[in-house]
Amino acid sequence: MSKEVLRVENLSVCFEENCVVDRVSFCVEKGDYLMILGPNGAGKSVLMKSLIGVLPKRGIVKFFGKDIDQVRCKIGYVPQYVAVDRNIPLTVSEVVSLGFFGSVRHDEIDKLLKMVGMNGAGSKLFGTLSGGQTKRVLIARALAARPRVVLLDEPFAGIDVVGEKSVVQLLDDLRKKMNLTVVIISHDFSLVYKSATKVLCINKQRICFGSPAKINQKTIEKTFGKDLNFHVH
Amino acid sequence: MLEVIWQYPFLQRALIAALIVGLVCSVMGVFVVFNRMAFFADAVAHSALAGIAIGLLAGVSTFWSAMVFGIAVALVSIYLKSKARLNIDTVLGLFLPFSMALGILLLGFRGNYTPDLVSYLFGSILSVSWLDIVVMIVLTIVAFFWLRLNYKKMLAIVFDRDLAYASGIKVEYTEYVFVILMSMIVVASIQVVGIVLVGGLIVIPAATARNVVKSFGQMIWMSGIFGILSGLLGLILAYYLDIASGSAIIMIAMGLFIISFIFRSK
Repeated sequence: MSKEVLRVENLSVCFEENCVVDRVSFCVEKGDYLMILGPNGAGKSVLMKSLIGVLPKRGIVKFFGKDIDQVRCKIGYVPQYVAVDRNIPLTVSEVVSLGFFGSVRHDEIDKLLKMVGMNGAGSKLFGTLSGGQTKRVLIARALAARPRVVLLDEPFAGIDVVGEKSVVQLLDDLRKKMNLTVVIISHDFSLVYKSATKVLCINKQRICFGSPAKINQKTIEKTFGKDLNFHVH
Repeated sequence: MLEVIWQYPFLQRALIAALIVGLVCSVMGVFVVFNRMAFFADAVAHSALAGIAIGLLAGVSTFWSAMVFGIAVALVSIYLKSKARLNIDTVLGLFLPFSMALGILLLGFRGNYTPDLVSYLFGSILSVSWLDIVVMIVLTIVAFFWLRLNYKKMLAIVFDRDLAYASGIKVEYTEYVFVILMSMIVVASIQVVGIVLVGGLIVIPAATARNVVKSFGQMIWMSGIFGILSGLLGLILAYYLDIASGSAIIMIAMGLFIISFIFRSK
């Protein structure tokens, strides 16, 4: 049985003449923790949105060897932000229920919320949650269909250091517990060495791809520019 | 009113129409409001005037010509929203005055004969026929059946369009079906509350429900209850004060909103 979870070949996303992502290729195998690094405007979020079929693209994207429409229930997605009007009286349970394919299992919602550290929060209004709690609920939503791979777009954006650490821990725990493959966009370098098994550096084009050991001052300069110092702790 | 309602079929029809329109407008209105399409009903209703004028000129049913024109405007609006890089309010702002102007222009071609514009603008619930009632009931059943089947999709679109796409939902297709249904409901409701006021029956009960509920699911029910109450109490008010039913229904709806807002603020 193939270990390949995601294969991307020559992926380009262009808006009229401007290509935000330009011929990027990489692959992810079962159990991988792929971290996508790049400066603001490098095309990371656009890349992820094109992977899940939200944005039009050129090139090949295969999840488990198939087109995404055939395997959507195996893929979880956590966006950087959600565009929801915070005045809408959506409860946490209602938000998590959106992640199910087919019928909603209410006992499962409680289990998912417990898993992400939001036990008993089902009746709370989503619009009243803090940044960290919002991320946890979105992760629970993404896990509702018991996916085999989860794509997270900057899950630490907009939350404080304590919240960030707890979400990092949560992702590590979930990855082990649910045997998940993870693809994550983040600016947090320390994650690379703690959790990632692969790193993809992009700045419109692919700068580097491979094990975290491939990250060095040269690749960081190439990705982020010359003023950034890279320290491994 | 109760004692005379059994004697006069036109009052029975008015009551049934007010209840049905109150229910279906307010329930579907929840999704209109939270999709930031509050002006949608107004644009479709105003476009109905052009449809009515076309119907009068062509000598065909004004109800169906208004419905066809209303649906066309709704579909073009949604198409332009995605293709012309304009937000929905701007697109609706294009069609609302255009349709109204076109309607008045076309009615001018009728020469000396001027149809009862006031009844189109503010409704004439007492002229509702049994056929109108049947059309409203069928529309309501179809709309609620569709909403029952697509509730999760609609909720996902309200929550976040990108996430809805990522979940495999055909967002545009779902929206097109929704606006077609809404256009039909709006046009069918014109006879009850009129072109000018139908938007209120879609927006106000949903806004009122928001003041008193603790979940989205509750909001659907409560909006429906406020819509029915507005229709029922509005008709009673119109009967006793001898005022236009459309205005009375909207006055009651607004009154309920103010009461709910006061209770929420406490």
